[in-house]
Amino acid sequence: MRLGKECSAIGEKISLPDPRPPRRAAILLLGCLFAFGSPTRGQDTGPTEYQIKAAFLYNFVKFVDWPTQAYAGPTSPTVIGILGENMFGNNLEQAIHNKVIHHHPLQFKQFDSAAEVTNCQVLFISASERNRFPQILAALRGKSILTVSESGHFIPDGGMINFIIVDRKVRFQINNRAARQAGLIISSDLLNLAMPAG
Amino acid sequence: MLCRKAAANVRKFQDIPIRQKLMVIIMVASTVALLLVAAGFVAYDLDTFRKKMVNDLSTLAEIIGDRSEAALSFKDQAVAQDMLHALVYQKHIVAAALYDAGGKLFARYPQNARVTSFPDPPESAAAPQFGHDRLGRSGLMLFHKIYAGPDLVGTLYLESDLQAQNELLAHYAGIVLLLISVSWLLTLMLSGGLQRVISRPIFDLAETARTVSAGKNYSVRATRHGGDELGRLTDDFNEMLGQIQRRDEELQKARDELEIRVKERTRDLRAEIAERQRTESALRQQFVRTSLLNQITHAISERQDMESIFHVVLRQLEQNLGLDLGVAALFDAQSQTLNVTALQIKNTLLATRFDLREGSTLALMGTDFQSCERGQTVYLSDTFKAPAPFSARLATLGWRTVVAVPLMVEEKLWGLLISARLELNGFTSGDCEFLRMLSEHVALAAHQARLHQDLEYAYDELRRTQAAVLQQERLKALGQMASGIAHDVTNAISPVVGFSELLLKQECGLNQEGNRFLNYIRTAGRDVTHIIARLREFYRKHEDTESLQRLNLNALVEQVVGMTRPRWRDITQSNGITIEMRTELSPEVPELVGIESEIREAFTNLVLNAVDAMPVGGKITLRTSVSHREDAGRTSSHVIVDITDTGVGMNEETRKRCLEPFFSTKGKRGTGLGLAMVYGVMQRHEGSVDIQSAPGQGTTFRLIFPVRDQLRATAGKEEEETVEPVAPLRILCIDDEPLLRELLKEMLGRDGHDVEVSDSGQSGLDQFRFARDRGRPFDVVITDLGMPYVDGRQVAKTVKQESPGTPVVMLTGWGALMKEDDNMPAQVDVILSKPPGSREMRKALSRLQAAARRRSRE
Repeated sequence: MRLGKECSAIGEKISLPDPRPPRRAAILLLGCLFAFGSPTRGQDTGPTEYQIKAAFLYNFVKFVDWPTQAYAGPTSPTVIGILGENMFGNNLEQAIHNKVIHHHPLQFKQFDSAAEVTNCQVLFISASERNRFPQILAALRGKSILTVSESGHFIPDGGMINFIIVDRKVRFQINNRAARQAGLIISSDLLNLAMPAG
Repeated sequence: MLCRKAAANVRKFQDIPIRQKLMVIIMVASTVALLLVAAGFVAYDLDTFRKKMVNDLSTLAEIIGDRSEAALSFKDQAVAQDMLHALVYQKHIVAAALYDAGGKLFARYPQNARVTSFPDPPESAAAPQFGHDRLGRSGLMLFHKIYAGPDLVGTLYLESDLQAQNELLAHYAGIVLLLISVSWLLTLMLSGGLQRVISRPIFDLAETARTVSAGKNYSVRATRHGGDELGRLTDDFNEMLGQIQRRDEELQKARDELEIRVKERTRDLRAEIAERQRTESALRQQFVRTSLLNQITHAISERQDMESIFHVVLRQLEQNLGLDLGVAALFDAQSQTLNVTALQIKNTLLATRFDLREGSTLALMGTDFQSCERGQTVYLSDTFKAPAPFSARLATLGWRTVVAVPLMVEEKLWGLLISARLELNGFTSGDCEFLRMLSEHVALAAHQARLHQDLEYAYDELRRTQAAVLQQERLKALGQMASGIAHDVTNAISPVVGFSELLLKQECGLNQEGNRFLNYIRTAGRDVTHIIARLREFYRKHEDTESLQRLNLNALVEQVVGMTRPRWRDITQSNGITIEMRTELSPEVPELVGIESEIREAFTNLVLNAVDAMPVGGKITLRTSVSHREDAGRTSSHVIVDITDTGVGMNEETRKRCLEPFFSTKGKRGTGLGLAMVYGVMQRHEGSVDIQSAPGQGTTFRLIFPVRDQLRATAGKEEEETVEPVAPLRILCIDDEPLLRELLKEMLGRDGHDVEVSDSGQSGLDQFRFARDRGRPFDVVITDLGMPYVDGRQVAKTVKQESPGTPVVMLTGWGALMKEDDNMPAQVDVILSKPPGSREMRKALSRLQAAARRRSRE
């Protein structure tokens, strides 16, 4: 035993030929410490779903052309509104903060009902409103508003862009017919990215 | 290295023919021009191409950038990948990449390319750039920033390879090569005709030049082809040829003239050379003669006698000058004759026929050489035409040319050198001159030889004289020494003789036998005194007055033979040796006057010597004879006594020295005085000794006595003189020898004299004064010479001072010596030798008495 103590004392540095359980356990322990010791870092590496979706919303503005009558003036803001529950928190507001696209500064608005929705270019209809999609969409018909949601039957209901999660990645589906009906021209590049609507 | 190679190439180029050179130049020029143009075009085209490449790439980047905006914005990698994959159709794009806004690689082409092979995107966009990618490929690269709206969404990287460019270059290279080939072909075709315009005139010129230089024909001209530089060159060349032609003609003319002059000069030179050769041969001959002269001079200078000088000269002349006859003769001025001293004849046959020999004499009058006496050289060019008989003698034997040169010393002829040759006119003037010169040298050398001989003779004479003087000196020294010894011996023997005389006179009761013995004693004593006297004086001339006797040499010889018999017969016979003694006595031998004892002694000595010389026996001959010799009109007679033995003889050295005193070959047995005494005796008798001897041949001593009438006469007178009786006298005798004092006293007392004696000079003088003072002076003083303190001379001097009338008689063993030396003191009246015989004493006293009587009468 006395002898073993001496060995371990030396083994700290040089004595590897004896792979004993205590050491393996130590490595594992060390791994756990890393795993739980830095939770913030894990969140840093991958943005949250709604952060991504907020960025997507912002990016959609770049690839969609609105008819001139959709804006009050050449420099009037492009309003991105949310109808229903705001799942983004303030992520969306951060994403569009101080951004100007095609001379139109971006603005965030929270709408509570479809009736309120005016002077709005992009409207994210929250999943909380999934049961009233047809009504909402019907109310918006005739208005050049790009409608976006995250529900399975939004496209069949006549929505334009629907977020889906594929392979743990945020993807989207586009209903170009609906967009064209609303007078919106979606860039073919964007169309290329879209997942086929099922 | 490179430079050297280039230089070599340039040289090589310089050597090729002009035609090729021209072609090369044209082709090089056209090729260079073509290449320059092509390079310009290619460079421009390449530049355009590259600009287009850049442009194309930028455009492509724009397109792809636009198309990928969405994909980047929505981070759709698959779409982005698909888009990049479309680049497959752009075959020059080798690599492409999309980076997201954060610079992270988002999509890549080709798909399987390694992530690390793509560069990191820069901060800003980068224009297309040619360079090398991470894998080292060269190509065109660009980074294109992609914006979606206001946002940078990503970066595009495109890389194009340069294959298109390379293909283009290859294409161009092919075209240029083709063009060059074609241009060369055309150049070749064209230049053949064009270059002829230049090369033909040059070839023409060259051909003309070759013709000129090959044929030395300056009349040809080159053809003119045009008015350009070549045409002018041709004109100049032709002009030059014309000038050369003119000059050539002038040169030819000059050369012809020169040749004529050279020929003249050569002729002159030949003449000059011939002259020089003549001079040189003359010089050489001169040199040969000079060296011959030198050789002869050298040879004769080594010789000291005239004969050998002449022989050498004649031999050299025959060898080196080719003389057929050479004669050297001495001239006798008194008899006017030539004495042939040396003769050299080349031809031995002629030599036997020629009646002239060495030693022959020729009368100068019988030759043609009289003018030689005046120092002239005589040259007879033809002996047949010469008048003198000697010349005819030479002519008949074939000697046609004769040269006689005189040998002169102090302007007097003393010899002739006669040379002859068989040919007519056989001597050149050079030969004569040479002989003349030689004669001077020979004369000088011969003269010197004569001087040398004289000198040698004088030297011999001197040596002989010196030897004689030396002998004389030796004998004199010996005599002086002997005198000293003689004095003592005389003093010792005098009493013996004196007393025995006294005894004989007294006849004091001795019987007959006693008387006879006493007589022997006296005779022997006298002989001793004689011997002593001779020993003292053997080298001196004998006083005429002393002991001269008439003697018969034959009788003396008999006597000596008898006296020496015990020595030569008895003693030798007892030793078993036989010596025969013979006498051959001439009855004609006259009587001589001389000292019998001395001559007897001399004979005895010689006989004993002869015995000693014959240790194994032999024969002794004693011979007397008389010789008469005519000398200067007087007849001189000599008596000759030969004592001959057959003994061992003497060598030359011994023979010469045997007469010297103390020279002896007998070791301890001889005194060395025997023969010296003989010599002394003969000298005193004015005779001489001649010795003939050789080792082993025996010895003959010849004693030669002169016969003189005068001596005979005086000797006779002395014998007849009678002694007058002497009156009694008072005599003082001074002598330090007691026995002598006693003898004198006894002897004089017997004659009735009153004798007093004194033992020293001083006491004698005292006694003399004492007697005078007492009135009884001495009539005569007899004193010894050699005494201690006051000697006889002082005694005589004092006596004569104090009493001049008293005669002084001096007794001495040195009497003869004093006389010889001329130092007889004036004070001494008579000198008597010791021992004083009573007869001599009486004679002296009676002479003194007579003188005293004469004085008193006067």
